[in-house]
Amino acid sequence: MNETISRFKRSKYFGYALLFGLALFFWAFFKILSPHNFGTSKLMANYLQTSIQYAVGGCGFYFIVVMGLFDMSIGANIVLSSLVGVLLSRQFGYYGLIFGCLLCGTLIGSFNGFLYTRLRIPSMIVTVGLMLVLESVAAYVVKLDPAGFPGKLTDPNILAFNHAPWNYIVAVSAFLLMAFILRFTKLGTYFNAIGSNEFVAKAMGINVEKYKFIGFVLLHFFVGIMALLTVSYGKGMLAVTGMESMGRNFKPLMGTFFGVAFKKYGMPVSAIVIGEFIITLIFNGLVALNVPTTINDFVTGAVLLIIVTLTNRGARGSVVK
Amino acid sequence: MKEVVLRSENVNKHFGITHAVKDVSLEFYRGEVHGLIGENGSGKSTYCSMLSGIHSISSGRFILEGKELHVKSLVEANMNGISIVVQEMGTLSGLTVAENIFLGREHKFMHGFIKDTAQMNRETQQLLDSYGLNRINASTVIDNYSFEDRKLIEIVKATYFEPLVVTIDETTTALSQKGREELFKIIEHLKETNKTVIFISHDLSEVLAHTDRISVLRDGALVKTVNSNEVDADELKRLMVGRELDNRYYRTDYDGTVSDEVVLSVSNLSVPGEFEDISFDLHQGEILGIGGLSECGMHELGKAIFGGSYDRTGSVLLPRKGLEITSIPEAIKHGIAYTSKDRDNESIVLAINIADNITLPSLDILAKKRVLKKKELHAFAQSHADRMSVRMTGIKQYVFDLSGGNKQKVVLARWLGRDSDIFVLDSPTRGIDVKVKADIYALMSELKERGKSIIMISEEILELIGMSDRILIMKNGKFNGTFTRSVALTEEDLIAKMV
Amino acid sequence: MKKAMMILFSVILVSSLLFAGGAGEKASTAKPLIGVSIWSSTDTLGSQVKRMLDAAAKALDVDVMYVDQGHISERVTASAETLVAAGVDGFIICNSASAEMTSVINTANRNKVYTAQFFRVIDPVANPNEHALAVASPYYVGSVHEDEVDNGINLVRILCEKGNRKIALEGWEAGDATFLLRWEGYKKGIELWNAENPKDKAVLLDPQYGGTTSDTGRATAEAIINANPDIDALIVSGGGGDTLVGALAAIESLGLKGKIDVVSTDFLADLDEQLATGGMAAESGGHFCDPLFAFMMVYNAIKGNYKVPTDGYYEILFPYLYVASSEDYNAYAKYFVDELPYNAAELREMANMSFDQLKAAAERLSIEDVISRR
Repeated sequence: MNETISRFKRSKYFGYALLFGLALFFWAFFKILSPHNFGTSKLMANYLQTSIQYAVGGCGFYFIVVMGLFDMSIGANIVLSSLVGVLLSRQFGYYGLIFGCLLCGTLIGSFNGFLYTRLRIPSMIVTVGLMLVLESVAAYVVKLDPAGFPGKLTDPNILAFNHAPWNYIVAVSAFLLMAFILRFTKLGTYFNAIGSNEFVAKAMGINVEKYKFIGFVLLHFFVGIMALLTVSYGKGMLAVTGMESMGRNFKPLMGTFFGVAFKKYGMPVSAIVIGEFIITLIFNGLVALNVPTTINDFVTGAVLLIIVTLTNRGARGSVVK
Repeated sequence: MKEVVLRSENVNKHFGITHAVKDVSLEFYRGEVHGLIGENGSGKSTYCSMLSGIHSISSGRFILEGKELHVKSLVEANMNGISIVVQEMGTLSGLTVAENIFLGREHKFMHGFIKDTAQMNRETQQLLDSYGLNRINASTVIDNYSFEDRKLIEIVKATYFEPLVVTIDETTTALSQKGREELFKIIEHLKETNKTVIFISHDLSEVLAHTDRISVLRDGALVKTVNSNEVDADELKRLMVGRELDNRYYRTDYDGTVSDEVVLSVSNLSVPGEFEDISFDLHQGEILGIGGLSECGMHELGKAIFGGSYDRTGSVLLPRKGLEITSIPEAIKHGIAYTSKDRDNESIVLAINIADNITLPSLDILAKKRVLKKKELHAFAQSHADRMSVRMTGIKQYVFDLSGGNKQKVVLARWLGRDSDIFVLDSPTRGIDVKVKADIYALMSELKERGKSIIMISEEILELIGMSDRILIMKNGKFNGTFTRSVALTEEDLIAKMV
Repeated sequence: MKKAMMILFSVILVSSLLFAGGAGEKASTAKPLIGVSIWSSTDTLGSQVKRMLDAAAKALDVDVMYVDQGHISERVTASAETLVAAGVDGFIICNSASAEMTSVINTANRNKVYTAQFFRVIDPVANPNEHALAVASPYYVGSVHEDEVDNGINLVRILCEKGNRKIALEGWEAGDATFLLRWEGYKKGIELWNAENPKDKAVLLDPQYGGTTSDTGRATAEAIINANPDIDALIVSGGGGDTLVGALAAIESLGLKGKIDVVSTDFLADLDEQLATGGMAAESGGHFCDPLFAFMMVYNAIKGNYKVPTDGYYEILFPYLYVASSEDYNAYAKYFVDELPYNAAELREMANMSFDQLKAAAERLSIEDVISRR
C-alpha cells in the first residue's frame, strides 16, 4: 500500500492532481466571495483566452531557465517582433504578420545565443544590454510604418488571431510543439542534463555550447509566436524605451516557474499552461472583488512565491542561488 | 594461460606538484574480478579515471586487446568497451531513468531528429527487469528514487552494453545489504560472460570474497599483485601501509601532557545518514586526532561541531563558558575555528584577495562604529599573513592565484587573526607540499603550547600518529577505537579499527 | 573571434557617438532648438502631437527634439535634464505628476532655458509649492491644458443621456494628474445627474487601471466586464489611445459591441468606423493641438517676444472637441486627420501673435474655426 502511494506521489497524475487542485481552490475561493460575476463557464473560457499568450512565452522561457540561464530581452523582442509583423502586414497581409513575427523572433534568438556563447558573460547581463538595443531598434521600426497610426492593426481583415478559434489554434500548436521537442527529440534531455550538471553533461559528449545556443533560438521563436498573439490581441503594439519592455518578461516567466516546479512530475508544458491560467484566474477574481490593480499585483506575486516555495523549497542549509 | 584483455604501461598522473599515480604497470585478465585497494590518496580512483577518460594521462598508456587506448571522455571510453561506476553520484537530476541510462547514446532510438521515447522506455524497462530492478520505472524522473536506487541505475547504465572492462569504484558503501547482493550478482554475471571487473573497495573482506586477484597501490605506486585465495586481510593491510614512520615533520614529544580541563564537550551528536551518537571531550592544549575511511562520517562530524549541520541532534558545549554551540556565528563568536577538507569551496573565497579573506571573520571586531578603515584592515591581514609566511606578491593578491599550500596558510591566518581557542582542522595538509606541511605542523605545535586545543580530522594515518595526543577512530558513523599517543603506536593498529 | 567582436563594438560605439553628436549639432547653426518631453511620441495621441509639432517646426525653421519618458516620474525629471544637456533653447513637457515640476522648473532656471507644460497645469491648491515656484520662475513660460473636470462631466452626461446607468471606469495609471482631474469630473457628472434625476440614478464604478498598451488595456477591460457583466457603459479615461484600442478589442471579442457604450478622451485611428458600428458612443479629443500652443509660447519666449513674468505665467485653457456620430467624425477627419488644422502660413502667422491673440486662437479652435480659415 505504502509503495503504491509512494509511486502515485511520484507520478504525473499526482502532479496534475496538484495543479487542478490549486485551480479548483482558487476558483472556489473567489466563487464563494463573488458568486455572480466570477467563474462561470463562459468567464472561464475568457480567462483561458487571456492566459494562453503568456503560456506560449512561458514555454519558450522554459528551454533556457531549465539550463540555469536567463533572458531579460524577451519583452523587447515581443515589441520588436510585433512591430516588424505589423510593418510587413501592410504589404503582405497575413504572411507578413506571421512570418514577420516568427522570423524576427528567431533571428533575435540566434543573435542572443551567439553573443552569449561567444562572449561567455552571464546570460542575464548580456540580455539586459540586448534589451536596450532591441527597444531602440523597435522605436526605429515604428517610424518606418507608413500608416497614419503606426504599429496598429487597423485592417479588420488581419485580426484572425485576435480571437477564437485561431488564437487557440496557434497557442495549442505551440504547446504541442514544445511537448514534442521535450519528449521526442534529444533537446529536452540535453537541456535538462546541462541544467542538472554541465560537467557531467559534457563528459557524456554533449556539446553544451551548441545546445545553449539552440535553447536561445527556441526561446525567441516561441516569443515570436507570443508576439503574433499579443499584437493581434491588442490590435497593435507600442514601442517603448528605457527598459519599459522588461515588464513584459514577468507574466510568461511566472508560467515558466510553474513548469520548473512541476518538472519532477514530467509535465512541464501542462504546468505552464495551467499555471498561467491560475494566475489569470486570480487576477480576474480580484477584479471581481473590486480590488485595485496595485493590490492585485501584490497578491499575484505573493501567491506565486507561495506555490514555488511549497513545490521547490531547498533543504535547510543548502546553497540556493 | 589467462588472456590479458587490458594492461597499463608506466601510467603516470600529475596534478600540479602532486604525483598522484606513479609508473603503474598492471595487467587485467579477461573474465576476472580484479580488486584494487590502497589507502586514501593511493591513486586507485585516479588510475581508473584515466582509464575511463575522465582525466587525461600525464604519461604512459593503456592497451586494450592489443591496441593502445585513446579516450578523451566517458562516452569515448564507453564506445571502446570501458565503463565506470563512479564513487559520487553519476546520474542527472531532472532526467528520467531511461534518459539517464541512454544519455549520449540516443542515436539508437533516433529516426532522423525524432526520438522514439516509447521504444527507449520499453528497452530500458526490459533492461531493468533483466537486472531484477522491476520496481524501478523507466519513464519516471530519477529524482524520485533513493540514492541507492540511483546507484543501481548507474550500474545498469555502466554494464548493459556489455563493456569489456567495468570499474566499480567504492560503490558498495552507498548500498544496503540487499543492494550489495544485487551488485555482486551483476559482477558474477559479468565474470561469467567473460567480462573484466576492476573492483575498488575499502572493505577488505568484501574484496577477498569477490575477487580473483588484488593489486595494492601505495602513494600512487603499485606495491604488489596477489591472488585473493593466497592472502588474508592482515597481509593486505601490511601491503597497504608498509612504510616507516617518518618523523621529519611531526612532533617529537611523547610525555603526554594534556590538561584535565575540558574546553569542548560533544554529547550524543548525530547527523542522520552521516554519524550517530558521538560523544567525546576535548581538553585544553590537546591535539585530538579523528581518523577513519573517507566515508566514515568524520568530515561531517567536524562540520557539525562547528555548527554547520542543520539536522544535527545532540549537543556541543563549551563548559568554561557554560554555552551550547548551535550555529556557525555562535561558534566563531566563542572562539571556534574551522577549516574544511574542501578548501576551495568551503574554506577560502577564491574571488577576493588575501586581505579580505583573512579579515572576513574579524570584521565585527575591526569595524569601529561600523566604519571600516582599509589601512587598518590591511595592516591586520599583513601581520597574520607574515606570521604564516604566506608566499604572495602582496596582501591585495587574489587568492585564486595562490598554490594550495598558501591558500591553506591564508585560511589558518584568518583564524589566528580571530585568536580562536579551539581549532577544528579537517584534512589540514591535504594536497600540500612537504615544506608547507612542516609549517602547518609547527603551527599546530605552537598553538598547543599556547594552550589552544585542536581537533584534527585526517585520512592520513601517519599524520594522526605523528601529531595527535589522542586518536579516535570512526567506522560507519560511530567511534570504533581510541588510541593514546605512544612511540609504539603503529599504522596497523589504526587500520585494524578503520576497516 | 574576440578581435572581430572588439572591432564590432568599437564601430557601434563610434557610430552612436556620431549620432549623438549629430543630435546636438545645434551649436553649429543659429536655428532655435526646442525639446519635447512626452510620454510617447509613437502611440495614438503622441504620434498626432508629433505630426503637429513637426509641421510647426518646419514652418518656423526650428529644430525639434523628442524624449519619450513613459510618464515614469524619474524619467520625466531626467528628460528635462537630457534636453537641456542636448542644448535646447526651450522645451515643452507633459509631466505625469505635479511633484516632478519642482525639478523641471529648477532645471530650467539653472540653465536659463524656457519651459512650458502641455496637457497639464499645476494646481495651486493641491500643489502650492510647485505653483509658487512656477509663478516666480523667469523661465517657466506657462501651461496649456484642458478643463479635465469639465470634460469628465460632459462625457458622463453624454452617457447618461444615452440611457446608461451603470458605468465602469478604466484608467491607465493610478495617481496620474490628468486622470485624477477627469475622475473628479466623472464623479461630479454622476452627482449632477443624480441630483437632477433622483428616481433614475446612475452609478460609477471604481477604476481599474489598464496601462498604456493595447494588450494590457484589453486584459483589464475584459476583467472589468467579466466582473461586472451588467454594465452598460465604459469610460476609457485615456492613456494615449492604445488603452482604448485594447478596450474596444475586449468588447468586440466578448460579443458586446454596441451593447456597451464607450467614451474616451483620445481619438482613435478607426473612430469613424467605431462610431458607425456602435463601438464608440462619443469621444472628446482633437486636443493634439494643445502642445502646439505651448510650443508657440516657448518659441516666442526664446525670440524675446513674450516677457516671462515672475509673478505669474501664461495659461491657455484648451477646448476639447466632442465627436458623437459619424457625421461629426467626417467633419473632424477632413480638417484634423487628413490635413492639419493649421497650415504652414497659419503657423507662421500664429508665431507672430501676441499672447492674447494666441490664447484667443486656441480657445476658438473647432471644426468651424478651421473651415472659416480655409
